[in-house]
Amino acid sequence: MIGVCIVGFNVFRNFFYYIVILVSLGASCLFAQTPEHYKETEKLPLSEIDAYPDYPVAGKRAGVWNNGQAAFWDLDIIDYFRLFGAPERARGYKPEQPIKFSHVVHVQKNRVDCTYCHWNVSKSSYAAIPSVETCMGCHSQVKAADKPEWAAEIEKLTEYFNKGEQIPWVKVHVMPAYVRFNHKRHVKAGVACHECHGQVGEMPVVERVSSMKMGWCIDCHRARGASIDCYTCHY
Amino acid sequence: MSDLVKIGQSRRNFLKVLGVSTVAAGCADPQKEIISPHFKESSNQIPGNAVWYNSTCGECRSHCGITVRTREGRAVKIEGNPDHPTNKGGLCGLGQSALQALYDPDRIREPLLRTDGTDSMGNPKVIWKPVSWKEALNKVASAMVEPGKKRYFFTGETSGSLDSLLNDFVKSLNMKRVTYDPMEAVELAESSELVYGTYGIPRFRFDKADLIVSFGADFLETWISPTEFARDWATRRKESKPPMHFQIEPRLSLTGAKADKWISVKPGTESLFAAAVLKRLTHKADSELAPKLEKLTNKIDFNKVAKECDISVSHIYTVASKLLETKESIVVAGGAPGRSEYGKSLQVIVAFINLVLGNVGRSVIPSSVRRPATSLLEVSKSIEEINKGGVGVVMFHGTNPNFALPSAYGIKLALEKVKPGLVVSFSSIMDETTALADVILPVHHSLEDWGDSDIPSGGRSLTQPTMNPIFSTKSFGDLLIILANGVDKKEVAGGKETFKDYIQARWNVSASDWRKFVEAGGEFKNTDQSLTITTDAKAFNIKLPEKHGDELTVLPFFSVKSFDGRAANRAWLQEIPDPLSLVVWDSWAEIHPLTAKKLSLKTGQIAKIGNRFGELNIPVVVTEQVKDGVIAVPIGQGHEEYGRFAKVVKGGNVYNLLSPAKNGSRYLPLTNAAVSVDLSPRRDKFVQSQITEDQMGRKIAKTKFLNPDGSKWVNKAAKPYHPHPEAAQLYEQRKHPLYQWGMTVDLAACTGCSACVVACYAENNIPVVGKDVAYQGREMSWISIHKYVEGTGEELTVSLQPMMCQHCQNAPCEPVCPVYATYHNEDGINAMVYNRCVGTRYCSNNCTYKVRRFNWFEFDIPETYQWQLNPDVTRRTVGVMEKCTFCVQRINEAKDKAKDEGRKVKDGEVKPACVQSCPTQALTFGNLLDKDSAVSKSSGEKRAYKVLDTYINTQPSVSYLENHKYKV
Repeated sequence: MIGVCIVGFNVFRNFFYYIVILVSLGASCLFAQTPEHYKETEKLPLSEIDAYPDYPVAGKRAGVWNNGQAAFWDLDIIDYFRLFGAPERARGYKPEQPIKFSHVVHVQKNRVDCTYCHWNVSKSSYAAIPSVETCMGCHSQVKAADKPEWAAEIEKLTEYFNKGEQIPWVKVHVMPAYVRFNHKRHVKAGVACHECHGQVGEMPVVERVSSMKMGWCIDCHRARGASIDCYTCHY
Repeated sequence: MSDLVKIGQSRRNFLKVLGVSTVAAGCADPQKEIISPHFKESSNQIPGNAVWYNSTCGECRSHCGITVRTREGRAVKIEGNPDHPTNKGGLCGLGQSALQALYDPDRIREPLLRTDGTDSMGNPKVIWKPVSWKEALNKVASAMVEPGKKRYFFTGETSGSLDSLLNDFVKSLNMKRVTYDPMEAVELAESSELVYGTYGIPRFRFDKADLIVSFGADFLETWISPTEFARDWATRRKESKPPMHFQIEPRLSLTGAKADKWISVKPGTESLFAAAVLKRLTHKADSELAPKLEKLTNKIDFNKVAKECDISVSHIYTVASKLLETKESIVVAGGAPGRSEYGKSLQVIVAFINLVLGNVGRSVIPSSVRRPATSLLEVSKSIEEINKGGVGVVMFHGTNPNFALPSAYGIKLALEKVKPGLVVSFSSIMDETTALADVILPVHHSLEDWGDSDIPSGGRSLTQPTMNPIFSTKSFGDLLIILANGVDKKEVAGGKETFKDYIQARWNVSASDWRKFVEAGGEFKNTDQSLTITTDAKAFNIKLPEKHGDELTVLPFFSVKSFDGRAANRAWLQEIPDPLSLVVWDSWAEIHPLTAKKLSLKTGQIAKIGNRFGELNIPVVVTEQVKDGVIAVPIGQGHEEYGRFAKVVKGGNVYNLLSPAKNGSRYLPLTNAAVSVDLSPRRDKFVQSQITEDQMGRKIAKTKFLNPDGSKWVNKAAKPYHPHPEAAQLYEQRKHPLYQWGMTVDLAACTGCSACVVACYAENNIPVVGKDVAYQGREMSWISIHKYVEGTGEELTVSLQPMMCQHCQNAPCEPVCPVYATYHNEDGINAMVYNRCVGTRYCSNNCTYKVRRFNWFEFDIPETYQWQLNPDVTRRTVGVMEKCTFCVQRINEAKDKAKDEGRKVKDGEVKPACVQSCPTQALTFGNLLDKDSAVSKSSGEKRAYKVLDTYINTQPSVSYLENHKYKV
């Protein structure tokens, strides 16, 4: 065995380091685990996907531009095995939020419009999450006393409000710092919410359904005749 | 890995191994980005949109109107308010840098109490103990009312409501108010009282004159109200027959550089020159005045005057005859050169000249709005009294006498004798005077505070807070009211609890009008001022200088960058080169070549300049821009406290070389300090931003000379210049579908004040590199003022040219980028995409104008300065090239807004930071495709040219309008 290694080492010594890399890569596949960003975060207590049967469900990636792909090679598996780079920019990124806010309840059950809470998406280039006060607008009354798991989350929200603290939501649709995305322009151009964000109303936990890679953006810009000048977004 | 060496390990293989380990490390835990919304929605604050507040600048006494851009509750950019009558939209560099005073990392953040302790070596050291406001105010209040003790309040010049509140405060508490502002032109107000009968600084209208004669008054830089004067002056400069301008001063200031003739006189002799000119004009005076003036000037002998001033006698005749032939003129005097012992005489004579020529009421308007209270006499008297003891409390606000007074006055020793009394400083900056205090009560910056002032042309200017106070400071007006109410003197504030209520009550307008004025930044109206002239007999008893000494004297001057030293702690102003000496991060001494030869000194050597009062160790700049025998040193450097950016400049405070004022003078004479000069033992780097001031025969900054009648002056001695023929273009020219952004720079209107440079630093998050990196030529300014000198002696011509990325249509930098990080976009802008740049630096290599800046280092920005950063502009990391972008963030914002309204961007709607800030509006920006836009019209003018375009066909988008000067 040792002899084979010594011989092999001397014969292949010029490619020795290449072989080391390949072997370790191959071996790593045996130890591959589900990447952190693809793990299912803790399921919400009540299974909600089937809870509101009269809401038209299409699958969370329905209607997303080009199905979230930047190009034909940009398959899900690339983001699944994302070996380096920021996992928060991969498809399937589903971080755990400080409060288990469920879009399913609010959209499918209560039929709240997107822009009721996210009201300044058409007013500013930075889209913002609704303030604590907006949440308390309903939840000062709505306490869901009959559903103890939901009541616990509303209790968390009320605590933030009473302490005067902001809720540290984890950002799902993260863009790199060198991209300046103008939200107002897209909303006013008639791009529907689900074309980029997917069917958020079917997500108990908000998930990133598109890699939002530049190729994906340029594809839509080309199709719709928007500017593909670099200075539109990178300045 | 010694076996690697044995088998002939190469560097490439080693890097491959390293690559494996890096890959393994890349599978790290996911990074979370937190997005925290507002707790409460605010109706006027949408995250991502800016909110603008109109206010008033508090950096100097001009009180220009400003409008402050705030993002998410933080002030990020200051711009001039276009509706304000003083500055009409322009703002000087000092005003632009006010943000760095607001966010100063060395700002005092809470009340401090002085305790004496020791440092690690056992030496005595002052330890500042933070205390609560309650404790600090109680301490001060009890010291304020100690019976039988003297009380003093040293302040800067105040106006409006603060002035009235302060006066009531000191009166009811039996305090003596002593005002000291080293820059305020007290002698001008006094002369106005003597000659015109109105005490106060007159209003000057430089646009209502066809001839300007200035005795040392640098009205384009620091004198009285520079932004207003520059704007008025520039409106006439842009004409084809501009006013003629004579500048009579020992050192060429920026104002002198723009003049048609600089007459270099010995410092302190301007009053003789003016008296000689007056002698030539007395026949124009009315029958009552003429004999008195003749009596005043009859002892003047023109040849003797010329000898005293060290000039040719023909200059006196030229100035006098020009004044006689021109119907509308303006004659001014002042600045640092005007502050000699005979400064008041100079002002009186100049006032008489204006009276005789009929300028009063048109270009010189006596006014009682700005009434200086500064009195050096009172300061020295008070210091003597403090030395005698029995002092209860000495308070300071808005003045730094420990720095701005010569050490001979001994204020430091006097304050040390105040114990057991209290020295209180209302200051948020640890300056030299505050360092001597016992209690420090930090006050708001003017951007966080309420205030008002009177506008000389009529109306009132209002200051409102543009953001919540950052630190635990309090408003100065509020503190006065709290202290007065606390010692039971409620009548001081008239029963009001806050300074804002006090101002509102004093304005006495309806609630809806008040809101209107707050939103507008003040009440702007024109008040007709009636004019009656009564001349005091004492005006004719002025003394004129006799023999002027021959020794080497130092001439301190107010620098356009830091005025009297108040802005020395601002990193931007230290980094931006002084436009005339090109020095950064340093003080300097300007010496004439003849004098330098006698002293065997060269540019860059550090000289020891001293006399019995003090000494300076500063680098020398050998230049013809100063009279021989005079050493010109800028005021404002050499701070021993005042923050990290001020303290890093060593060398010494030029005030310490001056001797105290004599004869009860109210101002400090600046020009009479004799010095001796030696080579200094100090060794340090000397940094100038340009290697050469020579244009090398290329027409980069062009000046056209005119004959006095307006026709072109032809230089018969010059070689004939054959301009290159219009080049035929080989390639297809670019087409711009919607916009083609272009700029024009009017070199006749540009004063070189560098306000555009400061504005660019503020808007575009440009890092400050410090002296060591600037020494390598790696400063990061996107626009800089280039200075060129031509001629010598009497023919000296100084040209100042702002140079920024020219956005060439045929850019040499674009084709050489290997990764297409820089390209020409469809709007005509040379675009720079930071995330694509790999740092080849070929583009900078190819740039003809050398305006590209490479980030050689990752620059550290102090935490508080990070709050000023513009969120709309990317912060560049190390390894990336950057340059002027024509403020693309503003263009995109304007296009966004225009698209919301379904239209194209209007002319004048988008103004890059430099264009917006220029006090003279020398820069114009707009769409070149629009034939009616201002920039198209100015690019088509006869004076327009493009720099180096005829040589290398870069086709810049920036046109320059050549400067024009009379050949006198």
